[in-house]
Amino acid sequence: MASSAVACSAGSERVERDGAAVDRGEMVMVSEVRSLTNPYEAAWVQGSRAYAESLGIELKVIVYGGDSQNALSQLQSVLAAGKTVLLNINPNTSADTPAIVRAVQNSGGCAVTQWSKPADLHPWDVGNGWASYVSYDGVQQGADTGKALVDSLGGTGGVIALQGLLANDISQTRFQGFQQAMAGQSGVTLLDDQPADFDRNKAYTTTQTLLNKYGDQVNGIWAATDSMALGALQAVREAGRAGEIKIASAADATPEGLGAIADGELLSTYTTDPYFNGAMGLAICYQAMTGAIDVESLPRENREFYVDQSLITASNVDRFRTVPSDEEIVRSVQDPFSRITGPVAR
Amino acid sequence: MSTTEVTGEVTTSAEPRPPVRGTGPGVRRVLSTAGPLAALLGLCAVFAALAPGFATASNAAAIVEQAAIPVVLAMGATLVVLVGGVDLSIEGVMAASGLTFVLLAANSVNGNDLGLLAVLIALGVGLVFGVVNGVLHVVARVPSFLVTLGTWFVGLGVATVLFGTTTPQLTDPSLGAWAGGHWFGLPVVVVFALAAVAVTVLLCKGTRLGMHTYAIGGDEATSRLAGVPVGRTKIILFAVAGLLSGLGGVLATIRLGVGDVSVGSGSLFLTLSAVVVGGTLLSGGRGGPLHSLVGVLLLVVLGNGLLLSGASPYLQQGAQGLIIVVAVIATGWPARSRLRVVK
Repeated sequence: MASSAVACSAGSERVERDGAAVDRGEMVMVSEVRSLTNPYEAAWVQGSRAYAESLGIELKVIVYGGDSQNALSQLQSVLAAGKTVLLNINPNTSADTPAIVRAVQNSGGCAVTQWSKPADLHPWDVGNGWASYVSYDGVQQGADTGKALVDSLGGTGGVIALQGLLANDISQTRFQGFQQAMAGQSGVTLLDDQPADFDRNKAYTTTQTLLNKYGDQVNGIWAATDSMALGALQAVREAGRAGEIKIASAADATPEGLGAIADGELLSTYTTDPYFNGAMGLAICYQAMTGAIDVESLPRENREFYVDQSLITASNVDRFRTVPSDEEIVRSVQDPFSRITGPVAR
Repeated sequence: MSTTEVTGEVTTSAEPRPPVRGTGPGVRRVLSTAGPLAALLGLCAVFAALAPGFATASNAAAIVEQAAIPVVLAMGATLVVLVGGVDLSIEGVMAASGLTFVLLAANSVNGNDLGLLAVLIALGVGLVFGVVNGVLHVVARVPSFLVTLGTWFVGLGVATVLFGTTTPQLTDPSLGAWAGGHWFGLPVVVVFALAAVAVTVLLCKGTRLGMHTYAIGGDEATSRLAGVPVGRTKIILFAVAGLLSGLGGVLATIRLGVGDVSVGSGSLFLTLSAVVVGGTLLSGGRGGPLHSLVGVLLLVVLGNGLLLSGASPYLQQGAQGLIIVVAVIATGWPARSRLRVVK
């Protein structure tokens, strides 16, 4: 009861300020990511920048290097500067989300978080300062790429699976989807599954060892991300079996991964459109702050949702190899809710 | 020569001239030298029996190749540990050198094409990091732990700046061919690793610098009194370690085919564990490059064997940690009565 009372009072404060409509000059947009050397996050920041520039609002990019404390303390310095913060963040872990969204809400700002949050915490429980939580259906990614792999083998053979970090939510859901795809058929056997920690080197050495163990039984490799798939590809190349062993990646659509698909060395990857994601979170907050949308009255489906994503294979790879222009990015988020595919089911 | 007389009296600096006092120290020396090797052979025997596919030529080749880059790194780390220091900057230096290399060789981001010169300049970057480590440690008298912790992140920062916004891919065909290529019938990385071992062994066993290294590790204060140029020796050792980290970064980058800031991730843990597991004392003065070679092989064989024997991934990580703790206890056991303080 106490927490809902707090949420209500925070909400009413925000509505009051909406009456005065927050001035653009009083706003600062913040885009917070783990690193800029990860192609996904670099593209995300590019999307954020394109959107902020289109409105002439200052953008601060915070790179916290996977350090939760760093993520929060840098954010707090920006909040302390006094401007109204519009935050779009990919938190390091689920555990970070509550502290971040409450800090932003208490300062009168707006936050959109993506990818991870505690399963039992929802934006409407916290208040209007946490406009939306956005996620991506890992099970679908795993299932679609798993099916692409099975199909490419003609329904028979042996495959190896490389997961990310064992304790990582997204890695687990992708693997769960992959297992669903495998369960739907009988000809393809899962020879081994190993964690490669999202690490290209570890994927390389693990694949090298497993190729020695299973030899010609290996016809396909499934990896939870491009970087691991590319590590596996390196080992397959060195074993002289490039092209012969099919490799499916379940995520990231890195430029290098897309190049490998175009060259026929990789079977698939998945895109969640980082340019859109980087701009969309800021767009939701901007519309909330200017009164274009009323967070209080948004349906729950607009506050916690999955976003449309696409399987990429050789047949459509060319479409994803061109970087969108700034105008295209800004246009794609005019309606930031246009790509909702459904609620985050729990 | 006066140095050897002094170190002869220091019981912990037993390696170059073991003190002959009855059979005790001799037995200890054999144990600490042969222990890790025996463990390695024992582990191989166990996995050969348990894991199908372990005792095959192709798996042996994979083990040697996987050990190559850690061996290069471990040679540098060993030199620093021998004087009682530590080099934590390995991953940062690898990243900075690796990106310097890829951006100077033919690549997908800019028009550079310096070929082998790119390799040399990247090694130079590693060398500079090493010299900075050494100078800050010796001249500013900052513990090596802190100096190298700092340069680790400086290296990652430099690499992040160099990285820019897109992944630079190595397009130089001749350098790229090193990745899966062979020289003298051996994989290219293995040739570099063997060269690194040979140079380090020569340096330790055949030069005045090596003698000074063991003396300093045995007892720095006494060595200083005996006229050993402690500061200069340490700076040289840190410089060599930086150079070898740079080489590790270049080799790893060539193998990946792309510039990656996380190219060295996990290398620090593997390298320092290997040095310790091989029997080089963290307090310095005893052990050496061949110990570390055995240490690296032991850890790589362990990882490979556990994977092949189908052990659960959860168990694999735990087992690797456990063996390191056991190895430290085993190597330190004979000498534990002589330790004044454990920090």
